[in-house]
Amino acid sequence: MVRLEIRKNAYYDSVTLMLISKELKKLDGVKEALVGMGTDLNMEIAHNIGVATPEFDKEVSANDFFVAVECASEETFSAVLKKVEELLNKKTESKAAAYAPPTLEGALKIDPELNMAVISVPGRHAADVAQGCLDNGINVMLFSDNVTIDEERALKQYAYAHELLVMGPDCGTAIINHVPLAFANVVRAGDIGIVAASGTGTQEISSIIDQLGGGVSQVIGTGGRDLKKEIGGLMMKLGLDALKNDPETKVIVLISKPPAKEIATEILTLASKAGKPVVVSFIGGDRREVESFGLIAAVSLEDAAHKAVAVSKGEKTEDFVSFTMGDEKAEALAKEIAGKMAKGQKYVRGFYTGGTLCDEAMKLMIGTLGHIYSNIPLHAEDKLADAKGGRSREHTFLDFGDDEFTVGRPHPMIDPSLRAERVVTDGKDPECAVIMTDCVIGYGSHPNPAEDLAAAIREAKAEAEQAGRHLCCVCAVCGTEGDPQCLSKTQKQLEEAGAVVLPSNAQATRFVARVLANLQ
Amino acid sequence: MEGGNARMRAAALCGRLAKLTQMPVQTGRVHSVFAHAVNLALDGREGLISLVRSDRTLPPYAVSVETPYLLNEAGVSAGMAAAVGNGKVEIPQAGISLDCSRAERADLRLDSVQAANANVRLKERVPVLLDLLRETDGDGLSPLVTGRGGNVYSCFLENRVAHLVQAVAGGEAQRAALAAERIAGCGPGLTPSSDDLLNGYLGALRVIFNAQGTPQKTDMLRVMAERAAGMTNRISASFLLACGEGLAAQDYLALLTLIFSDADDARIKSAAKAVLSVGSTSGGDMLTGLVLALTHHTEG
Repeated sequence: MVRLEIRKNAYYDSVTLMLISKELKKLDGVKEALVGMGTDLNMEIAHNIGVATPEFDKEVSANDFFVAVECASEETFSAVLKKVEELLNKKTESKAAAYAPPTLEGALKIDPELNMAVISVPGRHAADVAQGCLDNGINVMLFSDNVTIDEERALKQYAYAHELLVMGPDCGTAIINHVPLAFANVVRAGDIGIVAASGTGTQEISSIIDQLGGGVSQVIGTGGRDLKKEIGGLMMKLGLDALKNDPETKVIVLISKPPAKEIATEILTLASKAGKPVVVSFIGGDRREVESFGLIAAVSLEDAAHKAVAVSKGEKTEDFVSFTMGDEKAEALAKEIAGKMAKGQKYVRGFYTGGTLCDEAMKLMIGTLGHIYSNIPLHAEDKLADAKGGRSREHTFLDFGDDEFTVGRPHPMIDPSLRAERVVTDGKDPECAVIMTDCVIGYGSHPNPAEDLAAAIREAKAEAEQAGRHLCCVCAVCGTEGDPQCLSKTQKQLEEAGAVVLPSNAQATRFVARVLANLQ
Repeated sequence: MEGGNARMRAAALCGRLAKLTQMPVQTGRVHSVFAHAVNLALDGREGLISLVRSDRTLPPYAVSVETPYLLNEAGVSAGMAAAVGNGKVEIPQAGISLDCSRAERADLRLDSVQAANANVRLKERVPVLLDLLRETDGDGLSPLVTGRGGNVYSCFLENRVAHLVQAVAGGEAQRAALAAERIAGCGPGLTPSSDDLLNGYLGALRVIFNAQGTPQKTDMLRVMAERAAGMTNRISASFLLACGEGLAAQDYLALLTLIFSDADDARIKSAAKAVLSVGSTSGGDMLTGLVLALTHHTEG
């Protein structure tokens, strides 16, 4: 049956219209759907593809928004209307749920005690708005990017002098007084405090802490540039100081890419005087430097979580470099998978929505693989040309959150469809042995990021089987049972699609290394 | 909207709109409201006037508004009274009064593009544009030029676009106008894809004709735009009419300027990416129109 919904003289932005069009086609029972403005030609196309009803020509005009669907039943059409309404009113609903004052002044009138602001405005305004908050004694989480480093330095110097936090710019993750801000996971309250210059790195550590039975007191983001010389690690220092003085925090975890030498020395010196155990995860950095300050060095994000929980429980720390499933079982599984592969299958492709997770995977595997081509390469000579439009090369790892993939579209943690397409594309490569991916859940992420990924894995594996190959797909889900998407449900979807699902990014990389070793 | 509109400032405006603001007050209504734009319909005027957030490209007949807030959260609703004149753009009921007298004037005339190397290397610009279009989802009309699998809209328009190109190449004004009319209003999005394609195509043709020393042909472009405007919704028609007048959005104008200069591919690509980021498929459809114009109407 064909059904029609018309909104007279209604205008919605193109991105919303495209989203509606794509989402309707995914609904069970919808055979065809056309969404757009009721121009003559769009009506002609509606007739051509069989979604025009008799009233269509009479009632729709060029200034009307229409939804025309061929569907299985009235119930399906009701579901269509519900979906359209949901997508059109998403914003309205969230506004109706609570009064959202449009200005800082208005917010302060409602609650003069406000002391934390999340700022997500276009970059050119962000510093101004942030300074306005600092002037009012309000700590800032600066989600916006495109803030210049000079602006960042000025904001942070002011904030540091006034003992206020500026988390960011481009800070995506924080948990303050157990309230998750932006992209964060539902983790239990506990005694581990985190200061981090990495979004998904923080999510990985805090989620694993939760999975191990630990909990966090605070998660303070600093923004990715904080430990650069120009900024001097001001917020890492302030965050460290805050956790040092926080009675709820018994263990401190510091997360960052390896900082500049002099900044690292300053931070590690301060950490060594914190009076509390400090676990340091300078991803890919020199552990001896960390240990020379009497601090606990982590060899991976997962290892940082294990060590923090061990210290929290008063247990001895040791490097966690094995498998939750057991080393023997992992080896047997890797061997079995490698044994099914065809001659010529030898390369791994890592497709990530989390930049830090991609970076960590490459650092953990570079020793084994030699060269890893990427849009965020570890070495300049391994830069993959035209990462988005072109083809993968040998061992290739892509960060789908990098700028070239996000022009005109949401971050892949919100819309992972481009990554799913790449899984299918690379699955056709006869030299591709393993595709590994992350899957980040939690607040802010796609409501079910495993859905598209699982479908892509099924398709890629089926095509490979038809071509006489066996494609191994390895996934690591970053999140917790308490997350809206649910860790175990997400893992199950991927397992049912035929993926090998590991509990962490580090274990996923170790497993892939074993598969490749068995191939050799 | 307490305090909010005090932080709304006119940063720049289309030169043609600047002239309108200097005239006696013309009244009208708010036509439509979006997060990043508000459209005003002035009495007796077909084309719309727009308020556009400054993080978006400046289109013709628009004023660029600096504000940290989304425009659909600024207390503006469709139907509210609006006025343009005496140096201001105003929506009194929403407390919006933009003083345009000190805002920067943007010259959005396509005739302002100076063609430094007409015809000689223009076709060499096409591959870099095609590479970018191949990176898109292909939801709009880019399959018409990329050769990738088409969608329901591109398949529908394939022959019609071929007729359009033939008519323009043959200088057949009436046939070209009819062809434009038969293409307009087709595709997804608020501004149907074919309208965006026409905007890209007609805008590029104007610069090409100027560069080829045949500016008299631009009359044909105006008629084509007007005929196409009659086949689509008012917002999209407004862009087509402005294109027929010889105006283009700032990012597209910047791209055309680079294409007709000696700029290297990296700069072209960067400018094309800015165009590509417009709307859902709009930017890609404009680039598709540009590729059609460069491919079929330039030499060398």
